Amino acid sequence: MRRAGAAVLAAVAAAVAVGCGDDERAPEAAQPVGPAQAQPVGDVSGGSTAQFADCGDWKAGSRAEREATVRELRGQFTPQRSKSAASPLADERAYEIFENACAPDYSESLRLYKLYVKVQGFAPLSG
Amino acid sequence: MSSSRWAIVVGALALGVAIPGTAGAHLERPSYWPDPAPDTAVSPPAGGAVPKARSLSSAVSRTPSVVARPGDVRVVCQGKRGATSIRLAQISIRRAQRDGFRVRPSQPVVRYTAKQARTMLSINRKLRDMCRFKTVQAAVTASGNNDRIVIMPGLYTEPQARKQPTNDERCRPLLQRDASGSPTPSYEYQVICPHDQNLVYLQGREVTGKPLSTPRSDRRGIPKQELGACVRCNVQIEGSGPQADDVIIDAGKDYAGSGPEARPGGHAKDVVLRVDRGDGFVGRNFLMRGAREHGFYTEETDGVLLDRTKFFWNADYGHLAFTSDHQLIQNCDGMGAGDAALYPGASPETGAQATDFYPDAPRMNTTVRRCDMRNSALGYSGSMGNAVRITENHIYGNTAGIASDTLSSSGHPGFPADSSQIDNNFIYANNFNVYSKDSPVKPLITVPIGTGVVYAGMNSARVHNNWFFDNWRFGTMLFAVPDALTSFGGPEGDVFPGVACAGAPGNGISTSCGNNYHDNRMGQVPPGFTYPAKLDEYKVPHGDPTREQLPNGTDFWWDEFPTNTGNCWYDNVGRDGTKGSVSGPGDAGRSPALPPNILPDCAGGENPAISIGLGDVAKEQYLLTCAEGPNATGPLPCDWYEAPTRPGSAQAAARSRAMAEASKAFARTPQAAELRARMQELAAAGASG
Repeated sequence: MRRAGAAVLAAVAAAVAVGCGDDERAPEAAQPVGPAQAQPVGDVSGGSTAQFADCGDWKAGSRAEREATVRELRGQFTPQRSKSAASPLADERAYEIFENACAPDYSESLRLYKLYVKVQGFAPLSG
Repeated sequence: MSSSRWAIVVGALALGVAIPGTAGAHLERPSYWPDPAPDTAVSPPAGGAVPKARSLSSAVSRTPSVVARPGDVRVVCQGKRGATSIRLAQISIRRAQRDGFRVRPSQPVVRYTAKQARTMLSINRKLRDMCRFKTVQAAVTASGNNDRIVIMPGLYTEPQARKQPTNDERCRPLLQRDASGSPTPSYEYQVICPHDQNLVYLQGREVTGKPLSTPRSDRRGIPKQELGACVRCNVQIEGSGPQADDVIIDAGKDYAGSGPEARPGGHAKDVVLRVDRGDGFVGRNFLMRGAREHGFYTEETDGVLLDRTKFFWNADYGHLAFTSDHQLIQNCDGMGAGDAALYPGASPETGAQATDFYPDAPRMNTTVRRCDMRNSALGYSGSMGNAVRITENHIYGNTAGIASDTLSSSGHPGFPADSSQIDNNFIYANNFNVYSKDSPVKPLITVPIGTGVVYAGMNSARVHNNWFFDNWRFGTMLFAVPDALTSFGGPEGDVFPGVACAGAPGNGISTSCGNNYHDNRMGQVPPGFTYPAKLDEYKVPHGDPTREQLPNGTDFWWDEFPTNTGNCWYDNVGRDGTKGSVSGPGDAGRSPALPPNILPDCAGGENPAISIGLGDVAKEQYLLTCAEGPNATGPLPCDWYEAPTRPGSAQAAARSRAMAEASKAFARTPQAAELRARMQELAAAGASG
């Protein structure tokens, strides 16, 4: 069920926000993502697409969905309660890296989050 | 030393520059290490040590001393009155006597004696008479503390569990938030909707209160408000056939081929068997196959023994243990993983960073021994794999053999990884090109093809007395993962004292210090060694094992990260049996070292203080480029995702020269100057901040 989870994801975000009632709620994970309400690519599992989204999903997604994917990953891997939670990896750069890494045929199965955690820290050096 | 090189050192000191890691990691609920003390509320106590297995024969014994052992036995079988299972048992027993079998592919064939065959058949006939369950899950659900489940031969697809929905609406309110604020299934979610993700689910403890709305930064001890009493602790699940293949618990579908190693074309569930807070668990003699994620999965569990278990064709990890203690995985066989065949991650801080929460520390909390980890993207992986011992294994035919890292901090308590021990293993022919179009394994991660061990941010590790040979790119790699890289929001949970890097974690460089590589044999083939057939079966490139020497591309590679201290390589011998034939970064010309150097031996390990990383801008750029995965466009080429060439060949020599020239050329480029400048700028900012 690739890319079938948009409605599920939105409902999950709402349910978690209501269900836990935590005033420290991380805004990026709770709020609708991005322009035109585009949803991240990939299957929803456990309330997020981050676990399963892969390069195949990436290539099948629209630009808006891909951008939403980058935002979703940033939200997943940026502890919002940390004082230093600003990401040094620009979304545009992450997008570009996914575009390159997902281009070869053999990349179809690469999980985006596994790639993201590797490249996110390079921003301080990669300029 | 040139002034420019010192500038890099100073810059990196305050910067915490970023280096790629290679282990895959994964997403979890906010997870806590269980109390390492035994839980005496149950008898015998649960946890506190690796549990002991009860023999198969004791499941059918009428001997009072044996029967007196606590716990009921539940038998699972197939066919009317177990007819299918007993038939399969008979076939397998007969075959075990006639032809024998291998517990794992690297080991010799073992054959049953006539007496063994008779005994096994007798046991299985008695089990057939005891059988009351058709599915593993039904038997698990009916079980309580100290109970045991015996599964007779057969293929267990668990039809009822497969029918259960994923993303179950009933459990949506039971999602909790992780440290990032993102939703994730809570423990209660798994209990109420056990087959949302899992084919078979073992709930170890009662559900009591709700999880903390904000994860506690101190991950020592599961929060009392959600820690219920044992309901299925000290449970044992085992197969009753001669070999693990006789009992297959299967989450896959649409298989290509036949037999235990048939490859699934799809997956019915994410996990084959999940043991959640199931302290004192024993799993023995069965195969877990075909999950979309993991074959075996345990979390927040104290006391796990897996013996003669197999993990085939699970798309992410074959075995995954998380925040679990007192574990022993032995005599196992894992293959077909898109990440790692085995993964004990976020393991407890029982090593260099141990606190009084672990009064018996330092100790190894997890041991993996006598396993074959093969034909996967990684044989072994473990983000925050603290105090894990990997010993007496065969690790071969993977893209890379072992990766343990500090990179994937998000969700992984235990920063930074430390005290890993890799000893007395055979690590060879890890040249599997998982990135080729026709690879049967679909890669989920990016790792360097042709590498034995990758430590990406490890401290206080010991790698010793191993045989490394025929790994065509690197025997071992060690590089730093400065703190800025780990999750750029800080590590998951608290960082405890004992970090090996001086000044850490305050100075932002907490990894890749105090590691020792010694007494390893590099590029030599053990006498009498033969390669397992699985290398050729999966078309893994390798040399001729009848030769005495099968060199690695480069034996030891180190990034020389500035300020890293105490990393020592000593008493290792190379392909001709001498210390002088060990190849280091640059020496073999395959690595972008400038200039080629010799790894510090720390006066035979006696004086680690003399090992200090001096920095190498070409190496850093090499890693930066490779971290971006396939098709990256950095100023230095990354060769990780290309099939490596056979060491010693003309093609390998040509590539080495090309890489060395590219490295030298890069060092003179404006990009290299910019890289240095960024490092210096950030260093200055760090100093003033």
